[in-house]
Amino acid sequence: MTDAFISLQSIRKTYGPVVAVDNVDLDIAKGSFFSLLGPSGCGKTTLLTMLGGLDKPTAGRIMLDGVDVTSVPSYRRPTNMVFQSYAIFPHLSVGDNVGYGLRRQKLDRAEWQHRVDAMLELVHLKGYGDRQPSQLSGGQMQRVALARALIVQPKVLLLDEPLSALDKRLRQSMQIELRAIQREVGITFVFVTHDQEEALTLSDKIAVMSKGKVLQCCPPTDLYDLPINREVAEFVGEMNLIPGIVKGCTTETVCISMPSFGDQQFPVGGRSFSKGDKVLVAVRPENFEIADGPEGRELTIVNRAYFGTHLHFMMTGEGLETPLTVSVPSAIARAHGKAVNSDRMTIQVVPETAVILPQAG
Amino acid sequence: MRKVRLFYAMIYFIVLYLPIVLIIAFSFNDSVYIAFPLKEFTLRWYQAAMENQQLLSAFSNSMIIAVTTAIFSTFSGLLAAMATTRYRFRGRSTATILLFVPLALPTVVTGVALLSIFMMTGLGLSLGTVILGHLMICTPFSYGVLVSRFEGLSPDFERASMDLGEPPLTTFFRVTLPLALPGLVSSLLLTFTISFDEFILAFFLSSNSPTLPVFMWSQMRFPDRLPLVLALASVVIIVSSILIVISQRLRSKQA
Repeated sequence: MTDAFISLQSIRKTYGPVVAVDNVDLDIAKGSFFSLLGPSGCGKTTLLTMLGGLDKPTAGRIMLDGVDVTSVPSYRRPTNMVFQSYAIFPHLSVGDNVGYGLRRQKLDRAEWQHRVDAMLELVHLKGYGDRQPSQLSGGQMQRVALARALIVQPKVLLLDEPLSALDKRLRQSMQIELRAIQREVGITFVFVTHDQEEALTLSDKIAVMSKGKVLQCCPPTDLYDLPINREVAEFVGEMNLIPGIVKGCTTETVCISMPSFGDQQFPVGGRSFSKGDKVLVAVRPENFEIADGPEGRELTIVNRAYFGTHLHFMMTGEGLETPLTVSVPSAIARAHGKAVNSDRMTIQVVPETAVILPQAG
Repeated sequence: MRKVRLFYAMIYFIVLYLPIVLIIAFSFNDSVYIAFPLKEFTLRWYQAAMENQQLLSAFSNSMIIAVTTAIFSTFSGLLAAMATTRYRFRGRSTATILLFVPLALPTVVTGVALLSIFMMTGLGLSLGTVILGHLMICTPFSYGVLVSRFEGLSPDFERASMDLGEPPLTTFFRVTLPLALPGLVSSLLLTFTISFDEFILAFFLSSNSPTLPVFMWSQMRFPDRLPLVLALASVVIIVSSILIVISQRLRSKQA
């Protein structure tokens, strides 16, 4: 048993022969902003709807605040959902939409109005109560959906890709707002997204899912810096995977021989290696250094793209199966003006920033 | 080319509506013979129709049957449409097909079959048996109208309502029903019209309490009553047309 606020235990969901969620165990802390991240069809939305009681798990148990809610229907569960489609009732005004869930509390008219107005103010839609949903923009619909779910003071708010229908700028401002609202109300948010940047920006903790399984569950910085395997590494941010073979290993360092970069020592980082293991040295594009030292290798620049803050290079060289993506901050690129403008450039891997992954999986 | 298409369209509508226009024209004609040239304008056929007791009782039979049929077929169409669009179950696609099959059966066949069953079971014939027959042909129409309405409605609305604490029954009344309302009204009007105008089943199943179409048919034996039938037909045409137009408006508005 765990003392987690939400605990998913061996959750499994199948539709006929299709396994949507495959034996998932997750613990979510109270008051946290938790994200389920993964490509479409990975089972993240199914997991969310099971948390909300709109779907029943085929097997497993869902504990919420110490209560087994596995077979509690959605209308008796202290969870509320913000749907991807928003699902704003088209036949009701904005105010009636927001106050929809209050009917069962049998409030008098004044109290009802007060609660609705307060909630509209929280989502910056003060004075919109009498409008019809058809008069709202996408961003406003999203806020109404949020207000409607929060007004009944759920223990958990479930958000199913709520920002995916918004354009990029609106999405970014809504992200900041969403986080601010979450801090203000202190409710546990479980957020489903396929956008890794969004997950990294918003979350206290992220569970990366693929094919119905949770691959890794950790804070955003760990997910970015210490991906557990190749799939996570490639899904979250951009990652270069440089093949190599373990030549030797001590308690602190492991020596890896890379056809492209030669032999190099890496910190073990709590993993165990044995001689002859085939590994991948995972390096983020921004973690290469321009250098002339003995560890450096001269590679050919095949493509160059300017991104304002950064300069991106595609580089190939001997022993590399796929080109490397290298990102250099503009200021540093200016300091190495000659190197970055030539056809070839010498770069090196910084061992402390690299992650050693098994080649399989 | 444009002119040819326009010409075709005009011919089409003339062929379609000329007989109807003629019926209405002759209903105001002061002669028992359906022949040109038209005589004086008169309302006497309408007056005769208003005073005909058999006609009035046939009209009231038709109203009872059409209203009851409309309500019950729309109700069962609603249940069927919700079942096939909101739930996934074994045999769902078979059920969908079976719901439409009655439309493909020749009404004469259905009429004979129902007549045999009612006689065989000793149920006898009454307004009720006509209603049962009409339900058979009207329910597929209700289902068709409502299923297109429900397919256009995201199940997320109902899910959202349940998520916000409303059990299935209140969700039905607070969300499903209001959202399906245009479809329901459209279905009521359509099935009312179909039942009101239907002849073959009513002929087989109505016994000695005829519906309006059956009454009209029976009057055809008497040549001098033809204008009266025409007057009646004109009223039915106009009322039916209005109902169909309203029903179509509602169907197109819901998109």
